[in-house]
Amino acid sequence: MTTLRFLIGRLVALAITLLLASMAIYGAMFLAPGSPLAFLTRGRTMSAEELDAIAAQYHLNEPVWRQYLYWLGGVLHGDLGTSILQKAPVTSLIGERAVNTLWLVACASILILTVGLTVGIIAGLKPGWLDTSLMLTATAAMAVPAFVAAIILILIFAVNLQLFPVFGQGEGFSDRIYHLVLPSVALALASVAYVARLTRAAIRSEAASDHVQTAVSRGLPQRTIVSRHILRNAMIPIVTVAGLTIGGLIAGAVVIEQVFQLNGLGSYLVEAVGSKDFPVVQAISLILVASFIVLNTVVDLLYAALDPRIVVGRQHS
Amino acid sequence: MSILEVQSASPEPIEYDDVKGQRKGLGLTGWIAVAVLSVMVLITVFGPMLYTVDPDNISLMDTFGPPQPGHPLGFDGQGRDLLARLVVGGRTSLLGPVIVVIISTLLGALLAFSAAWIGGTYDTVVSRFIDTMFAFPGLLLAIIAVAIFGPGLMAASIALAIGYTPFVARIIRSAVLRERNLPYVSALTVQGLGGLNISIRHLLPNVAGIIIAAATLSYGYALIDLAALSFIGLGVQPPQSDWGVMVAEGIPGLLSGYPQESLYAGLCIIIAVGAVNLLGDRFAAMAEEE
Amino acid sequence: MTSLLTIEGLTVTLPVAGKRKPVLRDINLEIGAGEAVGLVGESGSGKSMTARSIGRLLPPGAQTSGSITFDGKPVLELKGSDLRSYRTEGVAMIFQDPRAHTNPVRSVGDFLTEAMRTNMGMKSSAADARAVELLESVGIDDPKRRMQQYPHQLSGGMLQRVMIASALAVRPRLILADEPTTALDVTTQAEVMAILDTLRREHGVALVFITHDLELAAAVCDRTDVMYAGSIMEQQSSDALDRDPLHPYTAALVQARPSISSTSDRLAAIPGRPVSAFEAPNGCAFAPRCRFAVAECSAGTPPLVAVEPGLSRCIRIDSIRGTMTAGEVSNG
Repeated sequence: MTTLRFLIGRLVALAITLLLASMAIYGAMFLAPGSPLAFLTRGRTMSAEELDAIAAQYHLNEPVWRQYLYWLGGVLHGDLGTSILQKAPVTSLIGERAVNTLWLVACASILILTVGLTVGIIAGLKPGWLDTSLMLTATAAMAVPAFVAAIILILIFAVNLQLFPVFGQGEGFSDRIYHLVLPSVALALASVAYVARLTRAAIRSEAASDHVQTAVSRGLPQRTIVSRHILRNAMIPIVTVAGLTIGGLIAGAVVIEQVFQLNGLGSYLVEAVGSKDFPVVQAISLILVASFIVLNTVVDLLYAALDPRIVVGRQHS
Repeated sequence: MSILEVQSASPEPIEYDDVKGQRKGLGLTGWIAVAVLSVMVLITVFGPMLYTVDPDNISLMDTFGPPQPGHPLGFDGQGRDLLARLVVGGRTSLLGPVIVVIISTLLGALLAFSAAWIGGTYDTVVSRFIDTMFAFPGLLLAIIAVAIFGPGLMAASIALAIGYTPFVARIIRSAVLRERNLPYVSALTVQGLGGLNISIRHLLPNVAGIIIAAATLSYGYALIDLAALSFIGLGVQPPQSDWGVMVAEGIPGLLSGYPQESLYAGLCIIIAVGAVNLLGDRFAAMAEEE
Repeated sequence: MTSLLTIEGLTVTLPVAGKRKPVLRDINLEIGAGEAVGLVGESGSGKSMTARSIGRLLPPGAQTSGSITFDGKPVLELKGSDLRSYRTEGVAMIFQDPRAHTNPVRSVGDFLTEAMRTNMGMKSSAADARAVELLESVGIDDPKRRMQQYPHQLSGGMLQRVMIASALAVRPRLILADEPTTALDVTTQAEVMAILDTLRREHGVALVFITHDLELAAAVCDRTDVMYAGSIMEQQSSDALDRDPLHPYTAALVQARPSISSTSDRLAAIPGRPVSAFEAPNGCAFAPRCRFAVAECSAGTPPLVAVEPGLSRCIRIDSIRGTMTAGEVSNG
């Protein structure tokens, strides 16, 4: 059954990509000037025993590929390494932070999928002044980086109008949402604009296509043509773009968390870089990259679900 | 009126923007973008020679001072002249992305051309490799690079360039593949021209438009990412400064009622990126028109 | 015979690079119920545009003057549900490239039954049953399995048969077939044409058949109109067309066809290239390429006049009739 083969193929590709990515992340450590030990412990004063302990913990006297396997083995068992600064397992340090980042990315994603798609669909289906003004706004919004949007939003809504808090992530469901309004809008703004533009383009492209001509020539009502032929077909490229855009939020979250002092993986990453705590940097990078790769695979699978040409394949008779 | 009604309504003539005829070349918006960017570059390059106020001169009496004669934009949180800082910071903000674009375009083009031309297993391997590279967002790579090599623009720029390479490579590869399948290439091969020759002398000029469009858009992304990196403190280090640093430095001021530093720097970024995006869009449209 | 479709003085203009240019000039056509009429011409002749005008599928920005009447109704002014009924029960179109004209993400069954379910309110089961019947009538075997498949799984020929089947599904009175077999190989062409011909005769459906192939038109249609540069140059019964062409353009087309039975030193070709309506010079559009042209041909646009047994737009037809297919085509 070709669907099963396709699924397995994608999952295998996923595993390979994850593996390659983990190698790259682990291997980055060896790019540093000097020995890995010196790199891991720079800037700290440590006794000889402590240095030996670290060397043993990271198997630094063994060949590189073995070191990688130890690390990988640990990761697959849930051990993401130990923070050199805190001397505690990284997993215990990032639990709550991961949740905070997830909240932020989820809220921003919802904005992208609702506002972005709606604006794009409206602009796509109704040419005229509304379309033109929406697209102009979108083009302008795309030029505003997330952190600039953040400070503008803070200035208007937090400082001047005092409608929203500036810092922190809040406690409890509604308080969290309240604290996440400004950050998620800032994070999502450029992406909403991008998705809106692409949605509009996809819809215009479908509306001009030959198969829509066929539908029109059959006297089908407008509603039917728009939903069953234009939107349905446009969804294929739109889903792909939306998925990739949401993936892009992962990197943007790093900066937004800094601005709004949200205690998430991104801000912890920056902190760890500053405090030269490389195992933490490694672990968080791995999580972010792995999330991105998994998301891409999900998008691939969605695409295949929407477009029968991918899985069903060519079988001429 | 919806798009479908437009199609079947008759006999009134309907003016439709897609039908009004393609703009040739850069168009009005394109030239405005070029003008804006040129002005910015000129100001940041030649500005310090004409406007000789010292950007690093701290003057604690003048913190957050309003505009005055000789200091048209006022002062920042440490009493330094804002305009001077914007001009000097602009040099870094506008120049840094150039390095990123050059490296990523060269790498991307190399990968793309070789993959599209040689084809076969080489192409499959390179494409897989490019796909894996997509998993690493540029900013993340830059942060890891800073973690390893320390803060500063050099390592970060190279890392960003590597992060952008798959994006550029994919665009160029599809363009080269499209071009390569055109009959004139088979004609050239039959005449005995080698791959490198055909690539450089024939394919490259035809694909140049798309490469330029991709490079321009990359410049915009690089500008944003480098500014973001500086914003979180991992980019340019003091005493150097750029617009990203200025936005970050201006936050305390913003929270206490003096938003000028952050806003002006932010505005500079928006204008620069906006112009670059417009230009990139025009280049992309021009490449399509061919 | 009362005509089903009457086109009178149809002129269509399109905006081209910012200016308004004609693509059809003064088209006059009458089709009776159950009649088959061929529209033959090269690219740019306006044959497709004529079919689109009848089907109300003109591109955005098109302006029309003149009239098209279908069963008494003014086609060019129809709106809303009237327009939709016209498209449902009146006219059905078969397009040239079936692959481009079918939605790739919808199954064949869905393609066939959509109009039946939506416009005619048929229940799914009834629509499916009818779809299976239709597939059988166009010669597709194992129709139930085919219904579950997607367009990309069918060959071009099969897909075009599906198109024909779907065109007949809602029992139209007129079928517009726009080069339905051009994208297919010759063997499949013959099969598909045979099916189209048989079915339309069975159901008494009128046909407007658009093609660049004179012989193909003659095989299927009772009458043929020859078009050039957006106007009809000649109209008469199909079998008489190559024996006794009523226009130098038709004669040239007939002569330019390579014949299997005879040999010649050179392949005859009409000098120059076909022009579209907006490139046409003043006077007779064919005059620059016509070896019978005289000064008066370029003076004013020749009208379409009755010349027994058909119509002709050549002002010299009475003098040159019967002499046109002798000798070389290209100018000496």
